[in-house]
Amino acid sequence: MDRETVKRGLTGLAAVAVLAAILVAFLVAPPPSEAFRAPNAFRLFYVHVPTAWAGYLAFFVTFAASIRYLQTRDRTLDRVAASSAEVGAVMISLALFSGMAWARAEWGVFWRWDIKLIMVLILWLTYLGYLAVRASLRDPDARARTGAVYGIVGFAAVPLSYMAGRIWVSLHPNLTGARGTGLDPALGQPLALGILAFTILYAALTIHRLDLMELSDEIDEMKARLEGS
Amino acid sequence: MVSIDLWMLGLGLAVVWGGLAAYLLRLGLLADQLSRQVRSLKGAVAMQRQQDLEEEG
Repeated sequence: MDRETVKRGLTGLAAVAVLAAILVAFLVAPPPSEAFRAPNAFRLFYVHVPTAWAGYLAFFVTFAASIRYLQTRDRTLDRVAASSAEVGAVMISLALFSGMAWARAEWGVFWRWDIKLIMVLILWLTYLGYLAVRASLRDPDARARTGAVYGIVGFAAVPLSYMAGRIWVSLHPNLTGARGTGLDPALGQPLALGILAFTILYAALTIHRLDLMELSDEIDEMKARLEGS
Repeated sequence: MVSIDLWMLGLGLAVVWGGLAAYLLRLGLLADQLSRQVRSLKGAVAMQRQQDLEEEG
């Protein structure tokens, strides 16, 4: 199967899966327990958690591709790392801002200086830093090398962000930790569908971005050849 | 009156779908811009090849 077929298949699958996940979240999933004051805004949970998951997964892919790039100097791996980071930055932004809307309804404020929220903010800034560092370097080798080192070091923000609610005391609802907030187990299936849908969406967007990055590199090479001849 | 609960649900959904739509638009515009550049560069390469052939001939 060629890449174009995979790309088209993933794109169609992502559209169907995301639509199905949203329909299930709004029409099938049960309301939250009475512990939550804002039962409508709680539905944001079904996009907030999957986008956050996609943001974590994207940085893991950047981390793994960066390590492989430093070992092999294969430019494709650098492109995979950069594409994944760009899509990951979008996903973590969506998680952060949808979480803020939920917080306003549930807590009465958009933001609290809570450890979990601070760690997600640090992860978001790490993503922006990665993209800014790459954008600031013109030399492709220096950009790939510096990006790879940043991608490896910056990955530390992912486990810290994920574990923050378990290690430290946090107001953020904790799905699986000891300090659970009474989330109904019936919410698990719609949530799993959402996570699957946004994982497919992440893969589709990354493969599209990867194609464009390859095209951009080809253009740079053509320009260099024209200027050289 | 619409409650803050519903307002924030609407705001959150608008942020998510608006954000995704904006990113898809960015990818589309970038694809368009790059394919224009490729066409123009291919034209330049063809012209240069023609010039080289004329000079040789």
